[in-house]
Amino acid sequence: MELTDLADIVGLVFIFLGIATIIISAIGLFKLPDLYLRASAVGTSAGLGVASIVLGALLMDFSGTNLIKAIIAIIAQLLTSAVGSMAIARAGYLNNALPAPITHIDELRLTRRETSGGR
Amino acid sequence: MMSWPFRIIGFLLWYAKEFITANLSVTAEVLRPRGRSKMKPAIVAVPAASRSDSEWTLISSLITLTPGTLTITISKEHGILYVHGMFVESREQLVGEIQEMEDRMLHAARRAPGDLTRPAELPVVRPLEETGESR
Amino acid sequence: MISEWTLEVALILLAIGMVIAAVRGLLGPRTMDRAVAADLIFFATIGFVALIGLRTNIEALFDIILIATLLGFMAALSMARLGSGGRR
Repeated sequence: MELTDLADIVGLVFIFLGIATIIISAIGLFKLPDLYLRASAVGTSAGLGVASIVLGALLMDFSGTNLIKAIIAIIAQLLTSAVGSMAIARAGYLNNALPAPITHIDELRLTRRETSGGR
Repeated sequence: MMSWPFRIIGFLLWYAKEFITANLSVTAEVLRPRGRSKMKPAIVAVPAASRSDSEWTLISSLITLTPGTLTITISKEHGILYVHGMFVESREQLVGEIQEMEDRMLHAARRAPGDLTRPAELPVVRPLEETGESR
Repeated sequence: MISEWTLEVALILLAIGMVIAAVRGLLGPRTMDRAVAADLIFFATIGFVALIGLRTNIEALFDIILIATLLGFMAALSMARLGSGGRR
């Protein structure tokens, strides 16, 4: 077997791992009861999912410049997705999105306004 | 005591390990049938030793990047991170995990150890409107 | 070549993931639940672009991925602003 074939196969494995992560977090959007848990589930595909698809694409189309671009893309994805999910979780908190009843400690409860409204 | 660049590499390796195990545990939780769920979510106030703005940004991003833990908000004046955890057995367990990560992060990010003290008691919190906080 | 039809299977699987997330986005119930679903759809879109790029051999594939990952959080930020009514 040639080296390029091997790189293609390993690349495909990474791509399918990433897709599996994305599908599992999509299922998590239904299985998990509240916003904060759903944001945690989406965090897996934001980090590992996208990173492994980019890594797989790199292995299937390898060159020096692509290597640099892929590394920057993965680092950018990790940094910016954290900012994005924090912003969403904070907006949920400001918007009085209450955690599911299964949440057994809630030390932010006292800061919430009594109205259970919000959008 | 390792020199500064090596401490950063050591921290990144430790964080990569944590990142992968956290991904696996969240994925396993989603795939687990409802009856055998190990999920115990909690929102905990964690006293933090970060001082500068860049340290606050770093630690809250690192916490959010690990699936299963999520920084909801921070209070710089009280030195508190409000962290949502997915698998929290007790308050002390999550506080311990977050403080271990912060200790390692500060150890790697600072050239000199500096001030590592944490606030000893939790602040009394009130709704946002009353305190007049805008952030 | 092995990769031709496997890439198509991968695209179909990714589309299924996007549809599941889109249903969550339609059901809501709150704005922020929709925002989380839209966030996930965006990440799936990055994967989609990567796979189509591999399938059609476009030159600028990694430039597109790089720009998407650099600017993707803007959507999440503006949805967060929208959901919190301008409060930060």
